[in-house]
Amino acid sequence: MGMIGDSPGCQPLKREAIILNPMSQPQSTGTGRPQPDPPRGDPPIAPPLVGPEPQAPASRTRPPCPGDASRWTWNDHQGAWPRCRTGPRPAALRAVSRGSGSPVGSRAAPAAMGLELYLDLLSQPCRAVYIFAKKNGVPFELRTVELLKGQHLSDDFAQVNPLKKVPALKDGDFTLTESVAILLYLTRKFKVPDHWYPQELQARARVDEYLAWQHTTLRKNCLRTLWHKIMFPVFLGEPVSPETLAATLAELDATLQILEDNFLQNKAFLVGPHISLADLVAVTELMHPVGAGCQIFESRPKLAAWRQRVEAAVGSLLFQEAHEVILKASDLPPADPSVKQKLMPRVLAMMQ
Amino acid sequence: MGLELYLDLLSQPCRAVYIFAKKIGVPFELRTVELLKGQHCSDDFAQVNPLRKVPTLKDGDFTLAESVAILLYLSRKYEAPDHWYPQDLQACARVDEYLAWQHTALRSCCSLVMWQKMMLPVFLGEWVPPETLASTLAELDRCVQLLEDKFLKDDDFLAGPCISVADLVAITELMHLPLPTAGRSWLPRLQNPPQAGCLAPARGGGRRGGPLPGGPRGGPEGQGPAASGYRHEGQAEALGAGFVVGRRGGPAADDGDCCQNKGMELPLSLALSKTPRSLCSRDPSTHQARVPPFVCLLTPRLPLPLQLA
Repeated sequence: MGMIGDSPGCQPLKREAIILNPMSQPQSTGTGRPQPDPPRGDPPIAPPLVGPEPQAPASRTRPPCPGDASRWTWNDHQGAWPRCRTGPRPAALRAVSRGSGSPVGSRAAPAAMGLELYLDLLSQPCRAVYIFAKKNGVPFELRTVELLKGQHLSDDFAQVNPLKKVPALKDGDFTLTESVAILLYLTRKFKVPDHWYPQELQARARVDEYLAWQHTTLRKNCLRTLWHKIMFPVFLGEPVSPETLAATLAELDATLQILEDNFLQNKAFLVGPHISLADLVAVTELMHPVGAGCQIFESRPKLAAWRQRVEAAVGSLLFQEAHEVILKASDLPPADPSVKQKLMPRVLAMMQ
Repeated sequence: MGLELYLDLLSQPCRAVYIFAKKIGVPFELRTVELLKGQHCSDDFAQVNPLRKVPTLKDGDFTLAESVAILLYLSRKYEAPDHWYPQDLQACARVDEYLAWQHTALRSCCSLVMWQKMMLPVFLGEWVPPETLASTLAELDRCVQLLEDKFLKDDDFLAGPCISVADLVAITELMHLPLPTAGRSWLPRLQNPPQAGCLAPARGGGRRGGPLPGGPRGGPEGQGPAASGYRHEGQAEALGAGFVVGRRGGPAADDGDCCQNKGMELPLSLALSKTPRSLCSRDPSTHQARVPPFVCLLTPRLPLPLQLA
């Protein structure tokens, strides 16, 4: 019953298409990727990363820390000092790959990450987490879990998340599932700009309200739309009756109306004048039916304008990067029979 | 007008909000919205919540739906003791994780079971295929097992050693059903949490803020938020009846060591007495089935033979 961040299949990501193996070398998130668009509104807490020239391994002398010095620990595995939680890292120690996509080719210092994100960008909640982490310069190691190959069902991944779902976060010994919980954790730990999850009581309540409402409404309908329109017939070779598809599309339409009338109304973003977690979660959901070929924005100019604003606030490059995979969902080749057999039970449970 | 809570204790999320508000001493006006009379479908209520759902909170001009959002709003506004929604990063994340997971897991399972096992066949006279019910019950069993294995584990409460909003949300869901065999030791702890619901050693300064503005209203117990400083005497698990379902009155357990614990019993038992099972009743004098008005609205077949599950 718990939704996987649905497992639409697609071509493997060119950049991080590694088969999940916890013992494999982590893939840095800054692999020759262009810088994202400059942030709108408040800048992220940490300054943009500039990749230094190859340098000697970091000194074991603990650097000065503006906050609690006990938060600095030497990471034997990575061979560096992880980021201090209470303040920005000294410039000399920013020689690590960060979520902001700094070029890694010229850098020799290993990534000093404690935080790993297990994601597949086919999944809506994974996209929200990915965009948020990259946008806010969260340092993380991307661990790709290829849903369409059933990697989330492997015993290896079950060691990370017994629920066998993505996204999953691993921060040292601490593992966390559920995209909403992960987004809130990253918000608090990395002290992102206030507008993402405002301190103000009522504004924050509005974000909570949307994040709670969407589980059984927009998420469910967007997921069903993708699966009934593309994944069942094309990927799994299972026909879907026109009546079923029509009913699914009608429910999606009704939910989109509620999104417009009850949440967006006449505001620039879902909870006010600035982008928040609610917008990120919503827009990544809506790209699912778009990936299925549904023209949901063409008939809804208000939603279309909101989507443009969200994309601009996040940064077009980052937005396009995160959605590259889902937008090719209709080009999926049919699944192997063995893969289909592996995925079917979970998919059917997900659709209930 | 102060804070208003639009609730029907028939609804699981309403029960969680009710218990929490009473427990932490939120001053509120209770506005009952009787779901079985279809009051949530009225135009009047649509003015309050266009989504026509309960629970709904109205605080002056500010209206809020979704029980999770309401619980967090109350927790922040009325500065509930920290354990309900901890400041600690990882503890808070655990609560968030449960609150997110349960929407499409335990909540949907419990609702489905309630409908397929009772509402459809008993109230609406609609036959539910046995295999459908069996599949739903199997899914419920899986969810409850996950609740034990993934969330509760060996802790006293879902997010650690202390009760939190996650436990409230979970228990009110489970009370929609006959008590599952899983988690029985956890259930009595929820009913009688020591001091502020924490089995950890007592510590001072459990509340973040000063006294609440005004006084608590809305019920006979009307007590203020649980204070800290009472040491758990190890009696929380040695309770007798556990939860009451469909019975009137509070549980028999007495924990005179900590007077704050009594604040949990009354709202909890009152809230839980309105579970669906309590609606399956017969008039004691005539043994005629009591047919809720909701059923009268939906079907002409009267009276319905109510088969108690």
